[in-house]
Amino acid sequence: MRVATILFFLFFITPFTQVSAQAGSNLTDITGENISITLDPQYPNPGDTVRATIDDYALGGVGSTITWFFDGLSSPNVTNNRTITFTAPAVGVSMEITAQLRFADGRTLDARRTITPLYLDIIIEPQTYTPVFYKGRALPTKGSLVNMNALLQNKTGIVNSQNYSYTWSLNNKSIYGGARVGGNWAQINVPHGKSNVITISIQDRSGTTVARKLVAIPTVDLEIQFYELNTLLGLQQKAITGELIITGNSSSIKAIPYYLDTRAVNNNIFTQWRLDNQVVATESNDPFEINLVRGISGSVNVGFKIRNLNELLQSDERAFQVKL
Amino acid sequence: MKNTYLIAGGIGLVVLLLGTWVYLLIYGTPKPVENFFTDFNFSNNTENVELPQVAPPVDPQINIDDVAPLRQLTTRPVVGFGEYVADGETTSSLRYVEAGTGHVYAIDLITGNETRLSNITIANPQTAKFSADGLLVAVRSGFGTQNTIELITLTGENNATKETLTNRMLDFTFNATGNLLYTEYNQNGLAARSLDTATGNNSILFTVPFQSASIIWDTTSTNNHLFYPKPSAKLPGYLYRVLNNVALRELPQGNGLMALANDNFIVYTVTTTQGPISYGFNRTNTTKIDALPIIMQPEKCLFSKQNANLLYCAATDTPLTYEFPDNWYKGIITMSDKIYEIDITKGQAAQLSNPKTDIGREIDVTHMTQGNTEEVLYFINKNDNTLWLYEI
Repeated sequence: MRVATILFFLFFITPFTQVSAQAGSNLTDITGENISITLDPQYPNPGDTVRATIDDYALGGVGSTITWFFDGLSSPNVTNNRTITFTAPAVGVSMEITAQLRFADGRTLDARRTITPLYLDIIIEPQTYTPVFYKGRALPTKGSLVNMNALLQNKTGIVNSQNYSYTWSLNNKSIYGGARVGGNWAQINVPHGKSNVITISIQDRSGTTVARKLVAIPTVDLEIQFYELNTLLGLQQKAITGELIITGNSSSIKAIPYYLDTRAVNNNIFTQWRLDNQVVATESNDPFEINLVRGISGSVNVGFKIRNLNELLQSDERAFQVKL
Repeated sequence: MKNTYLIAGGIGLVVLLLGTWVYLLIYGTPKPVENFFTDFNFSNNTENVELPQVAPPVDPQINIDDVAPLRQLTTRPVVGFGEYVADGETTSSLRYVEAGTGHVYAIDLITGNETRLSNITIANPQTAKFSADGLLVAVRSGFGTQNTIELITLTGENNATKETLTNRMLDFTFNATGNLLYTEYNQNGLAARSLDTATGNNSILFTVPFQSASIIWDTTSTNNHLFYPKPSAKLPGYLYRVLNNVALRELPQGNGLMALANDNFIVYTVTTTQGPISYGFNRTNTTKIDALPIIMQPEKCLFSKQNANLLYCAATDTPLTYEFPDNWYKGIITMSDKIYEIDITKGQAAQLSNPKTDIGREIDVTHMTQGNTEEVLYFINKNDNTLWLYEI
C-alpha cells in the first residue's frame, strides 16, 4: 500500500505541480518568493573570489535580460550571465550585489545581496608532543585533544567574542549542544577517521549569521624520529633515517615521539629499546635516550618502540642500523 | 576423566600460553644496555660481519686566505652567531656559540684568528641570539619543557658572566637597542614582551591569541612584527601583523603558511597537494604578485636592507612534496641549496652561487642573516651546523 501511494505521488501529483509552475507567467503567483542570489562561498573572506548565481528557476524567466550591479553601478561585461565571479571587498567593507531581471514586457525584478566580509580564522592547536627545537606545528593523533580558537576580525582587529554567539560542530554534530555567547574557543577529542570536519557558525546579537567556516582536521599517526646527541657536537638536526656511522667511542641517540598525546608524555606510556631485536634496559633517566658505547666493530640494528597505554592506537616502532 | 575437565584444562592451558605470549610481546626481558652493546652478541658471527671502512674524523681545513665569495668560517658546529663592530673599530667581527659546549668565540674576519670569549659550559645549547653590540648572548639550553635561557655577558677573552633568566621564554631575539624581545605563555595564548637586560624592566609589546605561533620579529621598530600559526602542510595558517600593539590580519593564508615582510612587500609560501609554492604581495597597492621562482623559507631568506624589492634566498632545485615544511623541520629531508637574489617586482631570480659546483659541498642553509654592511650573508649549514659566509 505504501509503495503504491509513493508511486501515485511520483507519477501523477509531481508532474502536475511542475506543469503548473512552468505554465505560470505571473511573477508573484507561482511560488510566492522573489528571485535570489546565491554566493559561493556563502560568507567570503576579504579578497576571496566569489561566485554569484542568480536563482530564478521558479520564474522561468526565459527571454529576460540579466543586468548585474555592484554598489549600484552596472557591470555591462557580465550582462546576461547567470553566474559571475567577483572579488570580495576589504575587511569590514560592505558591497551590494544586484541582479536585475528585465522581462520582455518591460517589467523588472531585482535580487539583492549585501556582503560585508570579515576574516574568520580557525586556529587549530593539537595537544600533542613536538620537541622544543621543532618549528612546525603539532598534529592530532587518534584520541588526543585539539584546541580550536575562532578569530573573527573586522577593520579594527579581532572582535570582542562576547558580542557574538559561536556554534561549533564536529562531523555535523554539535560540540556544545548549541550556540554559546563568547564561545570562540572549543576543544575536541579526536575521533576515529583519517579526517574530521569542524564547522563554525557565528551570529551577532541580532541573530544574523555573520560568518561561517568549515575546516578539515587530519588525523596522523604517532611518529618516532631518531637524532644523534653528541657531547661535543650537540644535537644533530638531521634525523637518522637509515644508517648511522659512529666514529667516536660512544654516541647518544634520542628518540623523539612526534605527536604523542601530551597527557601521556610523562605518564602512562610504554617504551622499549632493542638491539638486534633483543630488549635492553637503559641507564638513562630519560626513557627516550640510549647511550651506545663502542665495543667491537660491526653493525647492529637499534630499534625503539612506544605505546600510549591509554590509547593503544598511539604507538610506533622504528629501527635504524648503526655501524661502528 | 570427564570430557568437561579435559576441555576446561585445555582452555586454561591455552589462556596461560596466550597470556605469557602477550606479556613477552609487550615487556620482553630487559638487559642492561652496556652489557649488550659493548659486545653486540655477535658470538661467533663476528668474522662474518661486514666491517665498514670508517675514516677517522678530520676537521676540514679552512684557508683564511681563501677569497672565494662562499667560505666556511668554522669547523665547529654553531647554534647562533652575530656580527658586530667593536667600539673604535671599523671592521666587523663575528661571534658565535659552539654547539655541544655553549662556549662563545670571536672570529676576526680579516685575519681569521679565533678567540674564546666565554668558557662557561652550557649543557645542550639549542639556539643562541646575540645583541647588536655583541656583548650579550642569550642561549637556550635543554630539550624539554624545563629548558632555560642563559644570558651571558661578554667582557673579554675567557671573561664572561652568566645569569639564568627566570622568564619562561619560548621565542626570543635582541632588538637594535639591546632589549631582549621574547614570547611567553599567557592565559589565552602568548604575550610578547621586551626585557631591558640592564634594568630588568619588562614591558608587554603585544599578545598572540594562540600558543603555537611563529614570530618574525622586527628588531628595528615596533610596527612590523609578524606572527602566524606554526607551519604544517596539513593545517591552515593565517598571517597577522602587529600595528600599534594590535594584531591585524594580512591577506596571505593557506596550509603550511610561512612569511617574511618588509615595509613594501610580503613574501609567503603555502603548501598545496602538488607541493609548496611562494608568492609575493605588494603592501602599497595591495596586489598579489605572481608565483616566485623559488620556494621562500624564513630560515633561508631575508630582505635586502638597501633595496626593498630584493630578496636573498637559499633554495633547492629539487621539487618539494606536499609534506613540506614538516619533513624539513624534522630533518627527514635535506636540501642542496643554491643562493639567489630575487627581484620581487620582476619575479626574477639571479643565481649568486651553487655551492655544489662552486666548492663541491652540499649546503642546507638555515639561519640566513645579513651583515651590517649588506656585503655579506651569513648562514649555518644544517648538515653539520657549521657557519658560512657569502660575499655578495
